[in-house]
Order: sequence, then C-alpha cells, then structure tokens
Amino acid sequence: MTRGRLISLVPAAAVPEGGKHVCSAGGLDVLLCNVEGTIYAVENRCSHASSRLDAGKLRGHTIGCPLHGARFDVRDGSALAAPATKPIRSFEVVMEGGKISIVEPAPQPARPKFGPLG
Amino acid sequence: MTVYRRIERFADPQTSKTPVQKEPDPQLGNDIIPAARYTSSEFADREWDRLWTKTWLMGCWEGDLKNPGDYVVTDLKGESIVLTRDEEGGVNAFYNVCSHRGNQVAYGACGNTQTFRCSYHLWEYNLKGELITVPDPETFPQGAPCDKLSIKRLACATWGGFVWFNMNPDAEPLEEYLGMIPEHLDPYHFDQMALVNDVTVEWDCNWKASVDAFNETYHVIGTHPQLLSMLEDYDVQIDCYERHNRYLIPFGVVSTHVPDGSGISQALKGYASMYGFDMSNYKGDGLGVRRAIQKHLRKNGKAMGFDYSDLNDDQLTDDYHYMIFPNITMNIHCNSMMLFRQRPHETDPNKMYFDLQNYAMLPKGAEAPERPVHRQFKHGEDSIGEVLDQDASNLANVQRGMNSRGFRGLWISDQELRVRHFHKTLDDYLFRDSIKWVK
Repeated sequence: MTRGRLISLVPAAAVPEGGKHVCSAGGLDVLLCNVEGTIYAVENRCSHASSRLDAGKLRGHTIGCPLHGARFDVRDGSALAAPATKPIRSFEVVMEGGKISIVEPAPQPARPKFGPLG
Repeated sequence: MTVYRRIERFADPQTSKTPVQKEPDPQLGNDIIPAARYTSSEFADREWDRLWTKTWLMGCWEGDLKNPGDYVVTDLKGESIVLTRDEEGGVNAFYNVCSHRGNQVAYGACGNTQTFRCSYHLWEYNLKGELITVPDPETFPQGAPCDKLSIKRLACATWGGFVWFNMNPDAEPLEEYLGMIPEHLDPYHFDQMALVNDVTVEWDCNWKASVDAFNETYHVIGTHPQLLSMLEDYDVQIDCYERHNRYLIPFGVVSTHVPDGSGISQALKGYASMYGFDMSNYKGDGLGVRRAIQKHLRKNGKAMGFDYSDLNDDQLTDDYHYMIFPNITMNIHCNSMMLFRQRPHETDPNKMYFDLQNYAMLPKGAEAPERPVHRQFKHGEDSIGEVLDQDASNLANVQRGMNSRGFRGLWISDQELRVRHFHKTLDDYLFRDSIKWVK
C-alpha cells in the first residue's frame, strides 16, 4: 500500500517532552503531543463542540478539552470521556532529519451540506 | 457588565416586505418555569386534550401531494392522520381509521392511490375519506350507509408550501391562526423550494425541551463555540407576537462574544463560499464579510439564477428564525430553510420525535432533485450534522435534569425571552378555560 506524501511540520525540538505544539497542515489544525519522547499528532478540534484542544491538559496519553471536559487518547484519537462520543482524527507521525512530519491524511468523505447550519 | 459592539442592520424598515421593526417585549415576569411540565404524564395528557387536538399543525410538505391520489400519513402521539390530494385538486385530512372495526386504511408513510381499501373486510374509501364500498351490505340490519359512515374528516388547508390540519372541529381558519406569519414569510417563496433532506430522529427528551433549545442563542457560547466565528449570538433581535415568535440572527459576521472580530475563520470563508462570494478579493476584516456578501448577492443574484427582489439586505445573509406555535422551528436563509417539527412521543413525556427537513431554493432553470428518502433513527445512531448533534447531545442530559429532585426549574434570561413566550402561549391553551374551543 502506498503511503500518502509527507507534510513536514516543525523541528523535533519545538515539542519538548510532555509538551504540545499546534501547527497547520493541509488546512487542518494539528496538535502535536510529546509523551515520553514519542510524538503523536491529532486534530486540534474536539469532536463534541469543536473547541480547540491545545489549551487543554496533556496527562500521559490523554488530552482534555478545556471547554466541556471531554478527553481523548492522543495515540489514536479515541474518545475516553463524555461529553465526546466520537473520536478525533489522528495522523501518522514520521520523524526524519530532526523534523516532525505527518502523513497526508486521506480526504474525509464530505457530508451533504443543506444550509449554513448543516 | 460587558459592553459588546453592535451589529449593524441594513434592512430598510420602510421598504422591507418582511416587517423588521422590533416589537415591544411582552412583560412575562421572571418566574421559574416548572420542570414538571417536561416530565409529567398528566401534563402531557393535558397537552393532548387542549393543545395538540385544538391547534393547527403542520402535516406535510405540499410537494408530497402534487398529484391527485398522492397521500401522506402523519402520526401524532397515538393518532394517525391521512393527508390527500383529491381529483378536484383539493387537500383533505382524515383519521387513518376504518369506520367498520377500527383498522387503519392507509399504510406506509406516503404513496399514490385512487382509493383506500381496508385490508380487514375491504371497506373502501375515496380520497376524501368518504365510504364508497361495503361488501355484503345486506348483512348489516342497522344499515351500512356510505354517506353516514365516512371517515371523520379534519380541517385541512395549505400555506407556504405545506399542508396543515386541525383536529378541532371548531377550528379558526388557518390564515387566522397563522396571524402575521404569511406576511413575514411569503417573501421567501417556500413553495418554490425543494425538499432535499428528510430525517426523523428519536430524541430522549420532552418535545418542549427541543423547542426551547432552538428558541434562544444563549447556548451558542457553550454548545456551538465553533459558530462564534461566523454568526452573532448576542445582538439578536427578538420579537414575540400573539402566539408565534422569531429572532433575527446576523450571519457572516464574527460574534460580539469574540473580543477581536477582525479574524476571518475557515467557517466564515465557508459561509461566504456558500453564496459564491470569492474571499480572495476581499480586503476587509471579519466584521465586514456580512455586508460584502449582501452586496455581492444583490449585484450577482440574478446572474446566479436567484430572485432576491422580495428580500431585504439582511435576509440575504441572516437567519430569520421563526417558531410557529406550537412545534415548528424554521431557520430561514435566502437560499435555504431548515425546518424542525417537534412531535411528542406516544406515551413517554421523556421522549420525542425530531423531524428535520432541509429545503433549498433552486437556481432558475435547475432541475428539481429527486425527493430524498425519509430516514428514521435514534440519536447517536447516525449524524444529522455537527451543530444539531451538539444540540441533541445536550438534550438527553437536560431531560435527566428535569427529572431530578435537585432541579428548581428553568431560570430564564432576557436572551431566552422566546422560551418564556412559548411557555406562556402554551399556558394560554392549557389553563385558560375561557377560550372558545375548550369544551
């Protein structure tokens, strides 16, 4: 299976251990998290009320949403705590030449849009 | 107290066909709204006796009754009602029940037929619910007269591209019941819009909790923060009329809850692109996008196949949001309308049916899309879009709270005036014994 192209983001030093970093990739807000030396990348957007996650607390592999308290596993984006029930997107991370890259995500199937609110 | 910036209105009250002047706010007090009305079976029974069986209700989209013989079956609590188009072009509503032994005569949600024949003993009715055939009539010593055993009819009328019915034999005319609604909404020409989405979701809340949720924008900061970059949720004009109400929500602008409104988010860009507005040539900030879209549509609407001549400038961008009492919510934009019909559950006041229908204005010359297939599921089984999913996820918890001994009742702000107005109107139906239709 061919892998999507790599999107180079930031130097590894930008995300120290236990830290977070937000960057933009292909129109997505990506949240990079360094947990015990491993970098994980998820969409910086809560699946419950779309709030940014970067202001939330990273505890172990869990990122909390500052707005309503939802929690997600940064390893796979899975929802761990209410009110979120749906996962957030997670991206494959590749480390090359001291830089963090993610594999370009496949486009998501578009939902039909019927008006400004959905 | 925080002082927010104001959102400019561009509609000219002198020329706008949809009235835009602010109505004086009704003085409805500050009392707590009791939670029992969301949970009590006695209250639901009273609603059935004094509200649902006494008011005009939306039955179906008139596009589903285009041709003679077209019919729609709509359910409300335990009642099932048949809506038809007859050969003379009239619309009819009658109970879905055979006069013989009580079987239903119409099956499925909709279809086309010349007659309704009961599957039990083959009593047959025409499109007006009149009995036309009884097998072996000589075996009824008391007689089986077709003219006396027709199905009970309901008042039925059309407005706005919808078919309405009323179970009250003494109902006022639909026009009288709707009051100001046609004057306000006819400029949108709903009857020229096409139904493009038709879904029913079973929600775990009382039907009024859903009506309430859409009657205030106070919840946007908490429930839909992603919308703050593309609509105004605070400087919203609220108008309450005799029984219906509305608010006018500016769209295409950064919320005044966002201190720096200059940013242009993806959501705002997406909103502009829905109207064919090219943001790459736009030089202003997030506060000016709304006016720029209005000018763009005024200038280019015709070339894009749309006639906006009956709409004021604000209607080109904003959500003119109407609640037609008791259970119809409309999010109205120049090219689309999202309609919610909130129906009570048959037996459980803690459940309801949320009917979502999206309508789209088609550009001139465009072929009407095929009618979407109706889907029904429970909340959580499928998505109905991010914003409505967010609303729905609150409501199950709200309903649990309504049942809590720890809940004092609804503590309502001025931003939620429509909620209070809705409950006051409901009380008029449920508790004012002097009104004429109460038997």
